[in-house]
Amino acid sequence: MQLLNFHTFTRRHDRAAIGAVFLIGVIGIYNWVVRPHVTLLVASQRYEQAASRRIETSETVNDEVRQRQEELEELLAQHAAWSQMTFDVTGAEEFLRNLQEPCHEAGCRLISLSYLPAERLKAREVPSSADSDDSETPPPVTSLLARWALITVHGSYRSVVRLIGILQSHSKKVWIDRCQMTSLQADAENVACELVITIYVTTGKEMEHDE
Amino acid sequence: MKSAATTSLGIDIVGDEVNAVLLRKTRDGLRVLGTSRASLPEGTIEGGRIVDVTGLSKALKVVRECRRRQVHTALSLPPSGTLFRVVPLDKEDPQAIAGFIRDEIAQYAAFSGRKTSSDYHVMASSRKNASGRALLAAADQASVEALVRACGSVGVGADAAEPAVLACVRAFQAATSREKLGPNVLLALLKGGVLTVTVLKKGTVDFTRSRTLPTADVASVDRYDRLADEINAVLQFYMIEGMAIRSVVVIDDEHDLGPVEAEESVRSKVACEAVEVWTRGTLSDRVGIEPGLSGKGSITAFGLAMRFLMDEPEAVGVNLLPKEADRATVVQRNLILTAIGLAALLLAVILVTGAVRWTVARMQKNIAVMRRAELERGDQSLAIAVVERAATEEQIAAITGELDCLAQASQSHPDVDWVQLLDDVGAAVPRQARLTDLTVDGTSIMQVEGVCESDEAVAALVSMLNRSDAIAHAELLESRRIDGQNGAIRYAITCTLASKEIR
Repeated sequence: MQLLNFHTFTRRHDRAAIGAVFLIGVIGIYNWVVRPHVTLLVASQRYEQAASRRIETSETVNDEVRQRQEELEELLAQHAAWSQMTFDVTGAEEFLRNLQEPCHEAGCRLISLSYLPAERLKAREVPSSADSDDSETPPPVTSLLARWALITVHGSYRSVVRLIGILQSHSKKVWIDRCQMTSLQADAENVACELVITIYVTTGKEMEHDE
Repeated sequence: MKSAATTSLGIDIVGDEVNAVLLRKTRDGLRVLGTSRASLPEGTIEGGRIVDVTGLSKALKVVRECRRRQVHTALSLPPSGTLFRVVPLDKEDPQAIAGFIRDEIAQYAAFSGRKTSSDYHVMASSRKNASGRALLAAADQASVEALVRACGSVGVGADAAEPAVLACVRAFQAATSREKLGPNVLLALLKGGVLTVTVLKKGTVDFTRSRTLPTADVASVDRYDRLADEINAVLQFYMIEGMAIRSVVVIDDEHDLGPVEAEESVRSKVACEAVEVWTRGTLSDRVGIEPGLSGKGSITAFGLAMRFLMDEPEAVGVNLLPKEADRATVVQRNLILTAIGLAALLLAVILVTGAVRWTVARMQKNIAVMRRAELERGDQSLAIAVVERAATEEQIAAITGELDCLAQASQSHPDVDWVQLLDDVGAAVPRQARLTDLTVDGTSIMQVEGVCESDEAVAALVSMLNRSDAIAHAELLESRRIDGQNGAIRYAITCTLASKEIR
């Protein structure tokens, strides 16, 4: 058997060789095994924390969204109730154009009919915050349009009352802002009546520039 | 110098058997912890050389009984394959001595053409100007390596190998009767069919000679007759030299108990005053060990085991184990230890990385559970939820604005039930009265003007108006006669209208 020629080795050489092998092993294991795992562990811990925070935030925001949506649904229901009182654009045009029909129906004679300029309603101004320098921002425009009509009719008192009754019994709300009845000198049986009526029209916001 | 070892193993290889003794040094002396013996298969050893390592390894398995951790082990080779001599030295330079020893070994025909493993121990002369001497030992290197390999295969590491006679000298030095025997003693070792005669002069090997005995019956008394002749020849030589040897010790390391007549035969034939015959069975009586060899082990194995338990290791002498083998063993051991260390480190790393992976997997599982819970709640992703929240808030703001606007518009108009109001007014006007003007102008106040015939009629009209549900309060503002004392009366009434809930 040819034995290895170790006789030139001393204990110091042995220790150095073993130390070198150990050192190489430790460095190799640290570089290829330990460090990637430690990095993975640290990254995973950070990811878990971030994911937890994100999920908590998401939960809070989702709760808020649900709460807001419930609030919105209630508001939409209220809005729908209010919408029963407003005309749509077509209905309003038709109503105002055919005002002589209720007059005839009530037995009144339409003397004059004039339309006042329509006006887009504006939402109540929200008080701006103290640090906001945008103080001249106009209040937000709504989809509501107010339209007025001035009607002058002649007829008996009963006919005028009937006309007002017909106007108020319309499916949509018709407000009478002014009512002035004056007895006619020439015809004691009949009166002259001036009515200022107001209706509200729901329009699309895209029409606001057309008005 | 004190020996640090407390336990030591001696393995003695002879032609046909292997003996081992495990020895411990205690405060009271030496104690045999274990002995073993195994027969060697035929052909394992031929001519003193180990030719069948496998057979030897199988036989050495019995040594496991005596194996301990961290035990020094000394080996001996068959005497017929070992050279042991005392040679005179005329050189002092160590390199010159080494060269001289090599030349001496080369002279022996038994080792011709073979690599040898040798060692020597220089013994200083007791007299000034006298040449020194060296204790020389040599053996076939292949046999030594085979023995080391065989021992290694059964988990026994070899620390030293030496001639059997040297081990027996060491065993003799532990004898209780040593003082009684005097300073000069002749030792005759009978082992493996070889007789080795050694003269100890004041405890130091002065002379040694080996003779191969005929392969007759090893138990016959004739062998002892031949032994006595050899001893007598040496005694005579020393007598001529002028040194009296008064004691002879025959060490029969072939028998547990020698032939009955053997001791008497030796005593009668050897020309010496004190003759002792030691056998394996009587060793405990001679050297005072507890317990005895009890039918196993050998005197040589006992002496070998003593090598590392002696307080004066310089007296031990030679080591036939090649330095390379010794170094190889050390390096091999170191490599094994390094490998074990690295394996332990690797195991620790595997466990740690396993723990890290388990922790990471647990974290990912937690995240997955949280996500699943999020999906089960029907939650949207954060980005979508934030966008939806902003859109919803915008919608709420727009609708709230419109609702406010509608409410404001509704409150800006007079809340009047016109038909009832006008019906009530019409019904309230008595026959004597006439209504000339009725105005409701954007407020909850109604002005009524007209003419009538009497103040009573005006009062009746105010009273009737006050009864109307549509009028909260009616009050006469003016009433005056138009044309003299008998003319009509012009009146003016103001009415506060009752509000009607708008739905």
